[in-house]
Amino acid sequence: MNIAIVSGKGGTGKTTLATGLAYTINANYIDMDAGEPNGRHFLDPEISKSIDCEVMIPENTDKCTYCGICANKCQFSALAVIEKTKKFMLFDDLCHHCGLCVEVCPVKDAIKEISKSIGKINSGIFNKQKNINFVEGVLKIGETSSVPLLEQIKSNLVKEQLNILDSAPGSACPVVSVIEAADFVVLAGEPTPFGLNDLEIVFELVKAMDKPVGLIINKYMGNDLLHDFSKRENVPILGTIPFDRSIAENYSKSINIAELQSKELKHISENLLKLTGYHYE
Amino acid sequence: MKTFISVKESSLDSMLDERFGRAAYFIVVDTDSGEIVKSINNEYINDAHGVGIKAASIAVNENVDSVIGHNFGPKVLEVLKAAGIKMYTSEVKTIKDIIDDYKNNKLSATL
Repeated sequence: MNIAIVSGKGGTGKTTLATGLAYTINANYIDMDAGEPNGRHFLDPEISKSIDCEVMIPENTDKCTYCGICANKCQFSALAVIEKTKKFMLFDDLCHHCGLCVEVCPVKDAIKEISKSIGKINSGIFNKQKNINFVEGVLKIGETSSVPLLEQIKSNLVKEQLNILDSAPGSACPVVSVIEAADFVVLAGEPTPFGLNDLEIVFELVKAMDKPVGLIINKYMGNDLLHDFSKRENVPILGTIPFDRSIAENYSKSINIAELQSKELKHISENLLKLTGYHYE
Repeated sequence: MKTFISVKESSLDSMLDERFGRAAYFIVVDTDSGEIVKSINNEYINDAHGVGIKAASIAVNENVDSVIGHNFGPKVLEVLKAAGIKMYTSEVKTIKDIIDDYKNNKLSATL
């Protein structure tokens, strides 16, 4: 079973809660915020394997006639072809590795696909007694899309185990990719106007993707912003974590929140497992 | 000589469109006669990405000698440079005034 943690706004506590939950219920922790993975600081994993994630990008050969059909057909404008000066230019930050350029090319073997590494997938364990899996995607600096990396991580998840998927912020393609794999989605909410605004956007996405959903209110300051959202949208509240300076101070020291707020994390975990129907030892 | 300009409307009285890839129209002007020889509707204006590459590719396909805009992004520069097309930047003015500036060598050339 895959439980995804999303938030819309950044800095609401996705990683804090995801690592706290993984620690509390001995679930596999999967860091899918490949642009900025930081879950490892709170789980202290032992990494045993690191593999490259590769995508295919086009390159022309000496058979290329510079007709430009590939560039015209590219839906992402990733190619420019100049017949006069014989230039085949790939803007690889725009390339989505779909292979259409190769398909539409009228000349045999004029375009070949070569592989390019966009990042790494590190894996290991974070709880030596219980062999709990830790996986993280790490996108290379300068790469623009983590989606191929996330898809590779998803294809290796063990469905029979409980996996906590720690998402990137926002509600764009990488978040869609994470929600797609989820059996249940947890909204990590911050009860501020900004937090609510972005939470509503990602909640629209979760609804459109028809996933069951619950809400954790983090940094709770006694206001009703997210309680009102929960009532209005009929989203169950799994629990709250208070706004407390000491939590932030301990975060800065890489201390897992479950060590400090164990009662709250256990309460949230029980509610979460009740809603998802997952049983664990 | 043929020059390619990003414009708000397809007319010599139109103002230059300051955003090259997201201009409403492109016109090809014969700099000797000062007349518009071709007007192109920018069908890529609302694309999420790569509009500069598309606009530069249109200029390349029109076989122009130069391109005039307010400012060019890095990808536009790369494509036009590879095609050997000269680039000039201008303040936002009417196309008529810009053609006069071109004839009088008053436009700044982009290297």
